Amino acid sequence: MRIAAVWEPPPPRPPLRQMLAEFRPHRRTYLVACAGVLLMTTSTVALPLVIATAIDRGVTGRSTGWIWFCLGLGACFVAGQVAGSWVEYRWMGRFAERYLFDLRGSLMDHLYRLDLDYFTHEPAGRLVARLTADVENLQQFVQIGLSMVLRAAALLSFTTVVMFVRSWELAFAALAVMPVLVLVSMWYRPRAYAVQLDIRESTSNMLAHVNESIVGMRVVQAFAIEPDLQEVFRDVSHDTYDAKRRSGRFASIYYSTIEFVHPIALTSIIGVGAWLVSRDVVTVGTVVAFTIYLNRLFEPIQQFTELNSMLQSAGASFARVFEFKARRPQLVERPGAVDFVPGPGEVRLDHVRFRYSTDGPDVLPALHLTIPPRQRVAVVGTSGAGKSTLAKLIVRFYDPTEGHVLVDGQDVRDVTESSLRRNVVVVPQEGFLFDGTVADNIGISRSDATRADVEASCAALGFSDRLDAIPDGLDAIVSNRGLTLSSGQRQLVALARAFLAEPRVIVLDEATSNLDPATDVLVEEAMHRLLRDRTAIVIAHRINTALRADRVLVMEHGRVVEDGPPLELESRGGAFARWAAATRAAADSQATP
Amino acid sequence: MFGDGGGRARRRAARALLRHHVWLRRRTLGAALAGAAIYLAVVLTIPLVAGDAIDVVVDGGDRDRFWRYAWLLLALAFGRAGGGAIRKYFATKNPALISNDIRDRLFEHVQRLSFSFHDRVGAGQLMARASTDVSMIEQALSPLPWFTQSIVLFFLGGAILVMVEPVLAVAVFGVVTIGMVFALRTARGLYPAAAEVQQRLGFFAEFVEQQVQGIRVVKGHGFERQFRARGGRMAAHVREGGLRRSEIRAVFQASMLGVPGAAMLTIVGLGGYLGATGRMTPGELWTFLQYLALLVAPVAAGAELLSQWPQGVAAAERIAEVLAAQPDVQEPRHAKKLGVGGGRIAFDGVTFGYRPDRPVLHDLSLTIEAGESVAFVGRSGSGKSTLVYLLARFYDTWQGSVTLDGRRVDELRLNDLRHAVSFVFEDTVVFTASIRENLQIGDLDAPVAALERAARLSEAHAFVEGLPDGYDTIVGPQGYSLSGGQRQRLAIARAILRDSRVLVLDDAMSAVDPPTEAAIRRGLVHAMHGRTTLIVAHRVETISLADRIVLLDGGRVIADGSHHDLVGLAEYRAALALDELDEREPEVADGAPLAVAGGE
Repeated sequence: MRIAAVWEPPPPRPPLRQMLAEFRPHRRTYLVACAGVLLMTTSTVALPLVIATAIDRGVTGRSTGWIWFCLGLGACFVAGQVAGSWVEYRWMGRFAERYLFDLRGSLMDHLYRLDLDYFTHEPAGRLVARLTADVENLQQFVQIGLSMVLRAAALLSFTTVVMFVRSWELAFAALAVMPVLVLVSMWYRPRAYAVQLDIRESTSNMLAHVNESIVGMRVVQAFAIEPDLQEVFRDVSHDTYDAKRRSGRFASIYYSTIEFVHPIALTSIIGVGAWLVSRDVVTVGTVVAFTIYLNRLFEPIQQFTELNSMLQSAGASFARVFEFKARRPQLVERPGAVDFVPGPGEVRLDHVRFRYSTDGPDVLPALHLTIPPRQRVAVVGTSGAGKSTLAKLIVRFYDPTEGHVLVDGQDVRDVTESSLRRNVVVVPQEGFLFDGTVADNIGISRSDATRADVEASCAALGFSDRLDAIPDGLDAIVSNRGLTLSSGQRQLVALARAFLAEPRVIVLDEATSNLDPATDVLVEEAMHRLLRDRTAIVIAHRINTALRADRVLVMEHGRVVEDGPPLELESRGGAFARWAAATRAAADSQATP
Repeated sequence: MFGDGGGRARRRAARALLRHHVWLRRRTLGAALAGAAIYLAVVLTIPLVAGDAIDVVVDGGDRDRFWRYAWLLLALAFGRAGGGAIRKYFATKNPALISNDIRDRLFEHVQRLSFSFHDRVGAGQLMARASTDVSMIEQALSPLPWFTQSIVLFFLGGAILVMVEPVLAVAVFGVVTIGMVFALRTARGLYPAAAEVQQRLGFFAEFVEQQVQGIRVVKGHGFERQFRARGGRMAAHVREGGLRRSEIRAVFQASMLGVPGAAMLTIVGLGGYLGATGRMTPGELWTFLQYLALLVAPVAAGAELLSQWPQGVAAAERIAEVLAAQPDVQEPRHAKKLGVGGGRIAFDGVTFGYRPDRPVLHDLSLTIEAGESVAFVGRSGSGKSTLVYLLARFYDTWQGSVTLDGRRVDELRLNDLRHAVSFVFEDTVVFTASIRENLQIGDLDAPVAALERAARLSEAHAFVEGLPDGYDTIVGPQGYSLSGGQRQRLAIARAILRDSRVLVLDDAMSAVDPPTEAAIRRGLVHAMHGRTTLIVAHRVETISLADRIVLLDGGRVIADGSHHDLVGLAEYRAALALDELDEREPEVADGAPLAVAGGE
């Protein structure tokens, strides 16, 4: 079996201007680094001239005085190189770290602002990569690439200018080989980039194969498919090897061309130099200086290739980050939104109509509903009937297309999101735990919660003894999203968390997963205690939950078709009675396989 | 991670691993070194020849002599390009080959390691071995030919310079050595600083992942502000680590310029003085400058590359550790053939546990006839699942034996045994592949009709047909995401397709909703026909599939019979929480039982 790795080719690079605009707030730090680069490059370009003088005046002119002068001057330039380079790296580091810190922050802000809907459609791994892998990928470009561009450009232009000023004949002799270098770079660059993508793609395929084989090792061994997997592994890992070999082939052609061209240029400088020296056009020192400049020219040219691949991959990351940031949430806090003022907990839907897209069908056509304080409402119906849409409107995960949703007389669109969510709490199906202890996970819902509060809320839900069943009880360290706990224990923690928040209104989506019978009983009891004396909207999947409610809403195609106390509805023999019968029948069919 | 052994033994194992794999690919390494040798010879000759050529320039330019040098330099240019190309190509190929070899071996080994190993060592750990650690070795090995070349170049170049002008050569080398020691010491600080940043980035990434996974809770409770602050603190941590790293890097980079700078000043000062006093020619001075560029830069850059070597050795240590782990369950030396049979199973005096001093099963004996269906019931920890694991030899017993159709399971080839026993685990794994491929794990060349039949029996066919590409839909972690219940249905189909003599359902329907479970049970009745079926379950309704129920407690069989026989036992009622279910019943309006106990 071959693991189908879903490899995404990188998006095209966004315009350079847009990328550079990102750095504007930190331009001062960058300018300091630039000053360092300039100091470094001018010193570097000046040094060969000092050597030329030492040779012409000192050695050829037989003057030790000139030698000491050149030594002093040279020392200044070397100091300039060292200091400039230190400033460059130091300030580029600051620039990069500060910029990336801000970027991480703004991406986090954006993540929390996005609609919940977005998270259901976008694979989690991709979202995580926006804040992690992509930002890390930018690091290299921001810290090294940006100053490398400047350094290479400055070195290249300064050197060329000095060479032409000093002797245009020798400058041509040195630069005669440049077209070859430009050509070979043009040949190499796209190939290097393409083969890098191949390496990345094949490596990610290979690692996906290894990862899934290891994660599924029990199944792999139980079904004895190890030889099959090994064969596929050899296949996919050969692909990575092949891509690397191709990259080696291109690189060896490219670099050996440069290696080849260098002695040629050297010969041409010495040859032309000999002719010019014999005519007294240039001095021997100048010829020597030009051979050193030749080395300085080759450095940035080699770096441009490296820089190009850095720019390509940073561009791809920027494109993805920009695309992520461009996602606008539909739900935005109204300017001047005020904090929600908690009341008794009345929920009212006032002529609410809802559709997902403007031209789509109504999911909820004209819903009018009042839930008085402390009423427990169970919502039942087939999937797609609009139950969860109703729940999401109440906590403002969606806004109604028409009409108003009011909690304690306040339109949910007029209050701040955080204050609303603190008073109208949603408890999702599966209990999700964050890293920390079990107690941390419960205490999180109130900033001033003490250990005693946490214990009290567990006790109030009637299960403190059960949490003790975890080796360290409330102090058990939760890791790996809580998978160290059973799903029942996770649900209990989630319920305690909601209890501690003391909301007036709770929206609860009942879990469908099956627990072992003992825990099941505990969860059901805890849920019952949590909802007692609160306004509650429960999306019910089990008959018991519906029967324990004060009121049942049966939904079909977005409409409430029945509304009333459960026992009354059941005896009426309508939609609820049918639902109840079907739910029971499912349980009953156990008896007659 | 696991196992013991001191640091020295671990390092020795790591070196042995590296040596072995480098030796296996000695041909490409040799080619890379040969390329380096050619390159070296040429590169060392060029400054000598060019230096002489410069003196020709100084002497006033004898044209014939110059052209001789020019042709020689052209030939050298070819040699330099050729040697460089060979080195570059093979130096890329060699570590790629070695990393492939190591990964291949690692993958093969991990697949052979038994459940006991995989229980102990998580998938994340092993994944880190196969990806990060192998790449670290590859990175550590890559610069080897180049680095060897640079070292030789450094000393040979030095020797040549001594021949040109001993006093200046010694002075220059003194300066370079002192500078290099300083640079190397700075470089040593780079790795820990970088590792620290990596670790902090790891924490941040974990945090982000958790936020995305738990976004429903975060938004549902309005926790955004709290978590945003926590994330901000972690990002600040990353920033501080990054700043420290860039400080060290700044010193290192500056010294990378300072070392050749100081050497150049030595040449200007001392060399210039020697030249001014007539003891050196300009050409000789130039030769010194050329060698300087040649010698210092590679060794300096090598200092940074060399800092990857300890990482490579550490990675090799971790890999060697995994490779040293032996599978507990070994292939029998003289395997016997599993004859035809209907799947008669016998446990005879079996004692087994996961930890040395804590047996889970005590001297357990049990016989299951061919074609029988048996449910194992007991509280969690009673040994139900353990018992069925022993049948497929995922673990070996401490004492006693397990036989299948008259053969001890440890006498059979593992492949034969595991083809005879099909498993459905509770936590079902679906691979990122098409549904077809996922099902075919059970039987690689199953015809379409058989595939669909199996899917129908497990109630998977209908939902599969509803997917965008039907059986060709890519599912799994990277593909279309299925619910837990859907995954379990695929797992059941997979097992049915395998058509083994024994079918094991280990809590196989825990995530399926009740109406679907009822339908699956109807399908399973067909699938179970003509084979032995073992069922581990918590729910009365699932257990009703079995002809016979075995009640386990504390690793012993305490009762064995039909539901009717057992329903009076307190342990049985407790294991299935029958009484608690009864307690709930009064709330049901019309008194209809919620869970009907037993279907006999």
